Amino acid sequence: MGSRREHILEELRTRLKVIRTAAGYATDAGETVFMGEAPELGPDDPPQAIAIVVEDETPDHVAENVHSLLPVTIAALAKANLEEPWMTAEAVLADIKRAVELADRTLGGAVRLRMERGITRTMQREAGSETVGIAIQYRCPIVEKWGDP
Amino acid sequence: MAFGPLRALALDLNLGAHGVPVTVQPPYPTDGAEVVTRGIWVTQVSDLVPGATEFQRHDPRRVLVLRLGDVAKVPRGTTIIAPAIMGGPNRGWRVDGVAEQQQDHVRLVVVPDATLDEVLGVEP
Repeated sequence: MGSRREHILEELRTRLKVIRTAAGYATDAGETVFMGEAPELGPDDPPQAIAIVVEDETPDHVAENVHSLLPVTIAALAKANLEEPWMTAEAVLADIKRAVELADRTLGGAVRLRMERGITRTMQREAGSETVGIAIQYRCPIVEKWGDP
Repeated sequence: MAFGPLRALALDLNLGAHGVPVTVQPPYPTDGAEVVTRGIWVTQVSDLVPGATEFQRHDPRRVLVLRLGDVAKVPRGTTIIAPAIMGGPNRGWRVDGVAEQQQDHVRLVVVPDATLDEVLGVEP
């Protein structure tokens, strides 16, 4: 039996993995999804990839129930169109929002009330590089009974 | 003692020994004539990009050295046709910035130009 955190992360990964052009998305960013690791990719690795970065969970109420906020950042890298690199970044960002922000904002009941969107950042292409990046944070409020994650 | 001629000789020798044939075409509307010369690929730098994030990739930055006497100007967007390695097939490149400029040569940061590769019939 998995914990709420496991359910949240697994559900996010499942949603991100559907990002494929064959499924109607603009990019294939979901082809490679890392979780629990942010490897330094090389020129021979897939041009597009996503990393699910779990940030520090902050409890804001600790009693019989523990209320806390779990921030999760979805970071993505993509090979840019050199004419319009910003369009590549925006396409990946839009795909992530479409895939993650479904009607069920509780991620299968693991999130209390609803998850929310946090900071969004785009990392522009640097001289000599073909890569652009984006990062979008989702904040997942969770309630655990003490000793029952 | 003037080192200018010695420096020019060293650059000539290096371009002859380590250089690859290069065709430089300034971008529209700067335009200008196509220049055929030689250039040297210098050691690739593999930067982690993008900066300021946890998830990054090593992107090799390609730097091509051209003699300033051969090309008057090489603004960003200039297209270059040159083999990636000595004796290899011609590839398309685009000037993306200047890494360094000396009195007699310029080190250009270039990126592969997929459109030009297509024109040249190079496999991606």
